Amino acid sequence: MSAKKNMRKEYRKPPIAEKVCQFLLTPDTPWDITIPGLIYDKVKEEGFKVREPGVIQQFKFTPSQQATPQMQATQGVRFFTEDKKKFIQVVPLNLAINCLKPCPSWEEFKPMIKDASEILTDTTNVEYFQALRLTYVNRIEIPSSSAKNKLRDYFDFRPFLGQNLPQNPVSFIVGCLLPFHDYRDICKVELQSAMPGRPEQSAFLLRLDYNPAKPGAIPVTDTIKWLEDAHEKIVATFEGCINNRLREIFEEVT
Amino acid sequence: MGQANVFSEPLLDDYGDGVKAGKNKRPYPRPEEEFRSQGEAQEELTTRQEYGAYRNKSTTRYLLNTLIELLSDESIERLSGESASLTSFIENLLIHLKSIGIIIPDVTDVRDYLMKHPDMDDLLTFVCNLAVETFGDAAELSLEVYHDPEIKDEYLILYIRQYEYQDNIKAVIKELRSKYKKALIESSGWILVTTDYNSPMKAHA
Repeated sequence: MSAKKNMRKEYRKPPIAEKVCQFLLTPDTPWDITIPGLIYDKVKEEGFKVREPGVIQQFKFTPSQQATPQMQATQGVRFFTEDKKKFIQVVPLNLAINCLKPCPSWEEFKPMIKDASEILTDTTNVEYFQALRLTYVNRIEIPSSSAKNKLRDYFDFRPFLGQNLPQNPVSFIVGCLLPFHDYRDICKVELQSAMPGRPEQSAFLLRLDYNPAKPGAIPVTDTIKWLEDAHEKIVATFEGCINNRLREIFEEVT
Repeated sequence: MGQANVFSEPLLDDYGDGVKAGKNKRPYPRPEEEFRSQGEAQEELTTRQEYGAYRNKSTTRYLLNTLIELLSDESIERLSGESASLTSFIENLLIHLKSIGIIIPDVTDVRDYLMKHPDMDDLLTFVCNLAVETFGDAAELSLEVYHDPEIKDEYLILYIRQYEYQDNIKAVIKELRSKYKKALIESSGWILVTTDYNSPMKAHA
């Protein structure tokens, strides 16, 4: 068994909260307002029947308590499955397929990505993507009492506060860009405090975004190969971010 | 970008989001503004820059240059495309609401609702900002999900609980509702601002 395979662990209570695969088209790709409708005609056959057009927004978040996060908006549409656990987001030159908890395994997610990719390429007749992005978002909750000053007991990727700083930050966000394949690809790792479901818990989001370091022409035919590798790197990076105490909480299958 | 500092906020914010502050950003609708229509948002679509080809060099200098480029705003912006994670977005929305003083007694309940109705984000932010501006420190604002016990129906409810109830509270709430009711028509979910005349939970605490 290779070292890479050894990195892949199974958990009875995996922290994964969302898996996303995003396709970005090159700026010269012809795009008009009929394309989302054409995509919908195809994805509804795959179960994405609930159509909700509107403004799709994202935060540009800063961890300050007082700072007002910036928002950015794009006109787009989401196609949901009936249980709303899976959806496809389409904005100009951009398609993403999202799976929420309980997330499908990689072996189940991969064909969904492949179908979405084929629908996008059939509709737009593109042969190259500007970029692909695979995102795994983990939601991790640990007991509050043990979280105080002891993030190191759970995380191998965490904020460090020197002894001259207060040791009890109200909230935090730390991030790092990790290069892979001689800087061809980048994995952005972010750990941030989150809102716990119960007061006796502390919650964190550990997000891993893997994408090419630079925009460029990625042949559509290379999509799955690239994603397989991206998935392996994300799994390995995730395992590198946590330690055995968290694995115990996730209940590792041995 | 000057000295590369991978822990600086601008880098973390800009990377992956692909849009620099001030460009393309959509500020919160202010209470004095009308709720913005989807058509207006169309004007804010991302302008994508030309993409570059992969470089095929492998010298140390190339790696160093590449790293510097990776850490530059320009390169990050060229990658373009916002992160599409709904989980991250909703979490940051909740953190924002908390930061402006909204109390969320059952975070899981509200989070689950927003995951089912992600298009409510803009409206919810608008309503909460408006409520904070209207009632300020004179009231506790509690965001909850109302579950109808008789039929399968649920919606967001923002309770205004004043420390000293004013006689005109109903009129003020009615005025507040009038500012967002049109936007409700286009939303997949629902939000109601009201009061139950209870004492603020904080006061009990």
